[in-house]
Amino acid sequence: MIDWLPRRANGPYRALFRTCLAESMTYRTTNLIWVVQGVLPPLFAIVAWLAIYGGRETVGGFTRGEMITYYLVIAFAWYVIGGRINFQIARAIKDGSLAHQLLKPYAALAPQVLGEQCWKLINLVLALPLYLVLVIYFRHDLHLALSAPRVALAAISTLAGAAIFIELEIILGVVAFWTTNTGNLFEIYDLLLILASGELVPLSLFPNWLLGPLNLLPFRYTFSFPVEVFLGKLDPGQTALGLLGQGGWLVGLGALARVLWARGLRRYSAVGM
Amino acid sequence: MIPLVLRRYARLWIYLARRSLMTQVTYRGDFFLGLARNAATVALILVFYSVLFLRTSSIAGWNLSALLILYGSFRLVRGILYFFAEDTITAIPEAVRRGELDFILFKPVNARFLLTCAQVNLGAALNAAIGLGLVIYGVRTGHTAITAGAVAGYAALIACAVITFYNLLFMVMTLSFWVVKVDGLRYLFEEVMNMAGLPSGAYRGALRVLFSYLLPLGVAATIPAGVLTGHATPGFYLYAPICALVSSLASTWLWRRALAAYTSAGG
Repeated sequence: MIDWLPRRANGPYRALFRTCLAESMTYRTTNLIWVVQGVLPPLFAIVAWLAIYGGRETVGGFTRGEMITYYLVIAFAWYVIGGRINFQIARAIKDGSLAHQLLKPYAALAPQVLGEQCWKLINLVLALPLYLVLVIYFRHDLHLALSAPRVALAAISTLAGAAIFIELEIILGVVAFWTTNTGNLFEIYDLLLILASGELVPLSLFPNWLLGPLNLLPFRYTFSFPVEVFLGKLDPGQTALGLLGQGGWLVGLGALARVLWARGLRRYSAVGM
Repeated sequence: MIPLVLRRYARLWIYLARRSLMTQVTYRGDFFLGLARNAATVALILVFYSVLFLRTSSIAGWNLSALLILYGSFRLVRGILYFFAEDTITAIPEAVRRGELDFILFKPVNARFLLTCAQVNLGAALNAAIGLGLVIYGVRTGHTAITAGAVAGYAALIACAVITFYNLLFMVMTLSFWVVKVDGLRYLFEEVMNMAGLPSGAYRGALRVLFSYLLPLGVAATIPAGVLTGHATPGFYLYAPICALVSSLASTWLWRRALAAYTSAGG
């Protein structure tokens, strides 16, 4: 197993979880600001698409309701799948706090990975009323016909998407072992992620010349694929192929993260220790 | 004849800007990555518009050329504002929290000047240049006849937009005198401002009330771009200066209240 992820929910992890949760709740106003901010980009996209629909039933294979649902679900999915772990890993490497973490009785990157999950959990609770308002606002357009198998598959692919996302974040975060200026690199990565993960527009709406290369990247398997499964946009064959793709990326990125972590750690010397 | 005090502040700004530029170009790798990031941000939104225009010929009555002028205007306004003010103004909450504001208040220079434009941001200048490039490209592809009067009106409305959004940003950052941690507010301000990347007419119902009336987002892009795209009404020339004036009065009032409430970090 990957040695920076929890093996079992034992004492140190419970204690770390409690600490992270308490830290995440310290500045509740700031949390609320982040929640409101997070809802604006999907709202921007929804407004733009609604201006296009006018009286049309479908655009690019999406009904008006499906399009609104897509953006609301993908924004909500961010709280399960997304986050900003790379930035925190890089900070721990640069300010030397990683040295302390290496001595603790839990996996070295657990504070960053678990900390982000706690932060998202608190923000998710704060975001629920806001999403309820949006659901009520768009209630006449929302489209969701769920079945138990589809929800189960969506849950599995969401967890796999979250794991792939964390691996990508770790791979990027450990770049800080080799270079100190990572801020702009991470932001460029974020833009690529927004484009290629389906956060910007549903990937199927891209022209084929762009869709082909984007499908070869792992980003689709973070957000887009689980949401496509949830919305019932894939047939059983496409779903199975997607799950297989997720499994492949999970293993491949996990191995890459492990190699980079081990190499980075060998050349690591804490600053200010 | 330029008043002496203005010449003094102009000299001071040139000195501070030069010092700030030297700092920014010291880390060349990061500097060029920063430029790439700015270009990539614009490229991303252009991809978004391109996908939209694969399936429509206009959004809220604006065709692709007009929308490029609108988005270019938005980047121009944001670029100018952030070139002069981003790095300094967004440091206000930290200065207040750590009590470093004391050192600024002690200086024999207007404190608001130092808290607004003590540093410049080269990346933002690139943003402004890209914005201007998009506006010129939109005008050329839109085949709109542009008069000298329209260009002058456009420049005046861009200036009104910069002043309005400078004041709004300054007021948001001034809240840090009362609320301990408002770092996220800066990003919220950016996201709200990003909503100006669509024509005001695209917003309907409650969203129109919020983004057109409660927040004058139209001033940032729809109004100046309207002059170059034939979407302007005479009211534009009245509304934008009023927003600039009212926001200036409001931010001055809030700044005075904030200074009166300031007790330093140990207070």
